[in-house]
Amino acid sequence: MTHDQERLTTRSSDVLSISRHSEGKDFMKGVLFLALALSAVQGISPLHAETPTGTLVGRILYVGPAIPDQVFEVTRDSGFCGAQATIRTVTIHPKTRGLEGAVVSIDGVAVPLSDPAAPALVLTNTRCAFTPRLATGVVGQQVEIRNDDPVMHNTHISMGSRTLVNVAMIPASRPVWKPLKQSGIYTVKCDAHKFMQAHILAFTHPFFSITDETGAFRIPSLPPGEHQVTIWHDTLGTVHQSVTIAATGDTHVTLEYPNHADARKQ
Amino acid sequence: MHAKRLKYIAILIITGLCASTAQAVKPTTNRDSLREGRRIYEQACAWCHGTGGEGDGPAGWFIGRYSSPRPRNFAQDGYKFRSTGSGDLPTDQDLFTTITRGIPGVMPAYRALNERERWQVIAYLKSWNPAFEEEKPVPLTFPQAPAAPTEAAIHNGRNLYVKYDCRVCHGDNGEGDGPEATAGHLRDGNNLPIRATNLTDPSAWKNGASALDLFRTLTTGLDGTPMPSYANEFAGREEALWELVWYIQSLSDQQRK
Ligand code: HEC
Ligand code: HEC
Repeated sequence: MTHDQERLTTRSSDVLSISRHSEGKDFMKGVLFLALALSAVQGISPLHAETPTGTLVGRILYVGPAIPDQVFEVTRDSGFCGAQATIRTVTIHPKTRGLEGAVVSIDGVAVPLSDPAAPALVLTNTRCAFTPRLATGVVGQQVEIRNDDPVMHNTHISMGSRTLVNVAMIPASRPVWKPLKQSGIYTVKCDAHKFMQAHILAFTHPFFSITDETGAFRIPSLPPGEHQVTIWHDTLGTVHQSVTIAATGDTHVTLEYPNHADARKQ
Repeated sequence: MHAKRLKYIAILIITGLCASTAQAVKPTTNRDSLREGRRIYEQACAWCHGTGGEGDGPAGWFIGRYSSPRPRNFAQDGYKFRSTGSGDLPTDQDLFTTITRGIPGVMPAYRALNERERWQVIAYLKSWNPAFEEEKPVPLTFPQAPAAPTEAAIHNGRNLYVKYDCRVCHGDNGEGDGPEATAGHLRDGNNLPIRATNLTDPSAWKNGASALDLFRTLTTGLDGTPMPSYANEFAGREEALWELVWYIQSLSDQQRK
């Protein structure tokens, strides 16, 4: 939980709550109203493991009107970085209406993390942007910070008001390593280029997935039963929904981010 | 020339005095000492840092309301003045040094509290943040400052200042007027506007002005601010970092001509 997160709960639904990670996108505040359609269809597939586990399979859709990209004037290093920087807000697949780059997770299941030697998450400064702009990892996993650009960047990763790491990287600097310390949402910035931004979500379990370009995700090895699903998107915010994982096979869900109540009524 | 030197020496002596406070023996923490710590805190610190330690005391209401720095929120903020790596918590000794020295311009020095009282208040303020239980901050080792700089070393330091783009924030001549600073882009961990320090005026520096202090500031960075750590950039090249330090010190030397 970061200090600037805002949480509100809708009246009608008991499980639906929205919390928005606000980063100065104030224009979205208050107007953003998420409703969410959940359809759970139980699929059947053969079971191999000794302890029964299910898989959550689904797609996150965005059906609201287009949200304009953020455009920044580049005032420094514009010879290399370009005169303007464009930050995609929402990326929708034209056929499926699927939302790319949402993080789906199930947080209530206590399991020991089996793979302490997960490879480092590589975060590269490339062409005055962070690649990738969204990463997920587990607590203890290393982040490897690189700079491929011929200009100076500083990579400043923080959660709320606490810095995880803030390192200067001139051209051709060797990589910097830092392990993720706690679960939650890390913000990545460059104090020398205000328009650069990225996020890292850290978990204490393996039950998370980033939606692909069609909005699809898949979380395997879940114990059957009722679970709370969290969906996070950097522009659209956070949604919680409960699902019941079938004792065997795949549980299918489709979740929708409509943008606000009025748009839904039309 | 003479006056310039004297002033410079005076600064070194003052910062030397400040630094000599650091060798106190820390008593063990127990329930009684925490209760004492709380009593001292409520008298001496709550006014700014708030009774709950969240940086929202009655004076904190106007200090740092619209611009940095706001009094530290002990429940969740990171720390600026450390001997530890970027993002790490401070050691108890670091906190002791901060409280003893104070923070120029924003927080008084607490030499009036005896050493035992300072340790007690430290134990109390740490008790708000569970991270102090979970993480074990390890101080970095800092080398001794080498003997006085040569002109050539200061000249190299100037080149490093340019190469490492300090000017982006601190300006071409260290006056705190770099392009990102004047454009108002710099923000602290509370998203409040923050200024890049004027490197020509050591009296306003918060983390000390001795060569070793500057070496430490550049190695650790100041968490919760745009000021980054240069530890990785200078790993294994300590002599270059000293040159940069000497160049920074020479800026105030020159200003006093
Ligand atoms: C007049 C207001 C004021 C009073 C009184 C005060 N502080 Fe502070 N303190 C501040 C401000 C403002 C900051 C933030 C400075 C900054 O970020 O540059 C701060 C920061 C700190 C820090 C963090 C330093 C770091 O490394 O980031 C510590 C520790 C601290 N204060 C301890 C104390 C203690 C203990 C007391 C009482 C004995 C106290 N303060 C009294 C204003 C005050
Ligand atoms: C991205 C902007 C940025 C860059 C790059 C940067 N600084 Fe800073 N620096 C700051 C800010 C902001 C502060 C003030 C922090 C505060 O007041 O808490 C600061 C503080 C400092 C201080 C601390 C003074 C004190 O109060 O004790 C020194 C010394 C310093 N910088 C030197 C440098 C040098 C040398 C470089 C280049 C190697 C550099 N800085 C690069 C933003 C920057």
